[in-house]
Amino acid sequence: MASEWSYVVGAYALTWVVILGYALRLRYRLRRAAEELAMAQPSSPPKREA
Amino acid sequence: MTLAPDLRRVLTIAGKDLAIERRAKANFNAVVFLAATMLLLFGFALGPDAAALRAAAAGVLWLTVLFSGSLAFNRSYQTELEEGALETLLLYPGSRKSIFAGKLLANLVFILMVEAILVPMAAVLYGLSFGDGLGGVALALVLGTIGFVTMGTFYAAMASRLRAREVLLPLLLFPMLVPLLVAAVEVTAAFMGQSPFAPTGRWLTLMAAYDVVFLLATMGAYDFVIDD
Amino acid sequence: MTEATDTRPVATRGAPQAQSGRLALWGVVVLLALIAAQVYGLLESPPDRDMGHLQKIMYVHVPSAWSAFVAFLVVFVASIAYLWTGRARHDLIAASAAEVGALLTALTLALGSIWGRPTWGVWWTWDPRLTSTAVLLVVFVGYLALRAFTDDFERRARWSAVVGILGFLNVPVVYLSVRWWRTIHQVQSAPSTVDTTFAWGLRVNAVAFLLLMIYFVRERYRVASMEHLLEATIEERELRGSHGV
Repeated sequence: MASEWSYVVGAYALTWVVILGYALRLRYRLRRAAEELAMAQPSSPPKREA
Repeated sequence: MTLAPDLRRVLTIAGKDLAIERRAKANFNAVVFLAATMLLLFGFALGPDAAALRAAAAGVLWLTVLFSGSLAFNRSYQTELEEGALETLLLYPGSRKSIFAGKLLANLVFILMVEAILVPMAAVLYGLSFGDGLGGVALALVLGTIGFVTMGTFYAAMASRLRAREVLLPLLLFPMLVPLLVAAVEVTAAFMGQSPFAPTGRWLTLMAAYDVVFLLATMGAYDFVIDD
Repeated sequence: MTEATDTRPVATRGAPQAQSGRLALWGVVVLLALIAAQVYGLLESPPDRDMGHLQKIMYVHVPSAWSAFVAFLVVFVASIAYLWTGRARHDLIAASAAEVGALLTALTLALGSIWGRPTWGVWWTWDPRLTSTAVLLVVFVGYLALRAFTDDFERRARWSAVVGILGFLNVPVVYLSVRWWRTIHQVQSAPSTVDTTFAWGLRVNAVAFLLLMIYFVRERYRVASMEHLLEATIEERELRGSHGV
């Protein structure tokens, strides 16, 4: 029984590691992209429409 | 648009590609020798047991065809990319699909010729006897190769123009070939007498359907990958 | 199910601050929904007759698989939309959904393995669903690799749309072929006995996972459109610089 539970706990732990890990990674990428964008367009508003 | 001029274009492009291959025999010879080497290596990997070799022969044969054949596809575009020949080819009037069909035809002839040498070689090395199954094996080879070459020619149109072409083409191509590989190996094994009760008709239908579906899909999509 | 394939625009340049706040709120909602669904699933389900407590893994494994599949459906629809309209937005949605779909597919396979080991005694079996899922993963890994190696935006969008469409069309063919193959070779398959309490737990978790998938795609889309804007800005500046001289 104990070993059965260890598989269940392992599965849920993995799920949460993946979910939180990806969410954090997206946050980080978003922040970096925003910073780089701010550096790329100094003061002048973006003219071009993507 | 009438069919005749397009058909002529297809044949012209196929003839041109095959003429290039014929003049530079080195490529064909290299592919054949690589395939022969792979047959030997698979033999060593599987061990000398004759029965085990025979049982694995159909799978080995198809994997050898896939790996060695995939080397031919990028080449069929690279000759065009050198000296900007593709741009010139695109300027000619008529449907661009005929470029695809022409290259497909040339690659089909190329791979079928490799197979014509490979199959007898496999028969010798793996102790196969086809008997009445020879026609069936040939049919499986033709149907499987049509699908293989269709997808290979299509994905190479993209991969050959990228830096990572050597790894990207197999990465894109091989997963798409899974149904074809499964069917081809089953049918080939069945006609080699390895699994006499296999539903060969069903597998052949699957292969034919795969060929038709992806031939139409890639033909339809070709303008999107070549048009730039 | 079709509501999930929401491809409405996420305006990134309209009001970024408000947008960001709303999405963060949504993230919290998704998080709570996931926790609630899992608690419900774990508490309400009695141990299965055959599978015992291992059945609880199904509450994350199956929803993950379903939402991954919906993500790939989004890739398929957005790819067609891109080829149809040529709008950058559709390409960015397809790319975002492909990455999220690949992640969830990988998670699905890992969870399937964790479940399969104590159940079948093996980490992997050539079950049609499992095998098709693996093929789906490599097809879309190829899709992402193609994107990574293609520099020109317009070409990348066009090519990956075609690869995405063909890859999605291939899935039913793979499934069919592996199923036929399996019936010949007698490989064990996942049991399909589903009782009602189990089904409800599954449904609740599926909805939570679907929300998670949509949240991820929208976040990823925000990253993608910002990176796209960055690319365009740099390109424009270089162009202006060379003109100014």
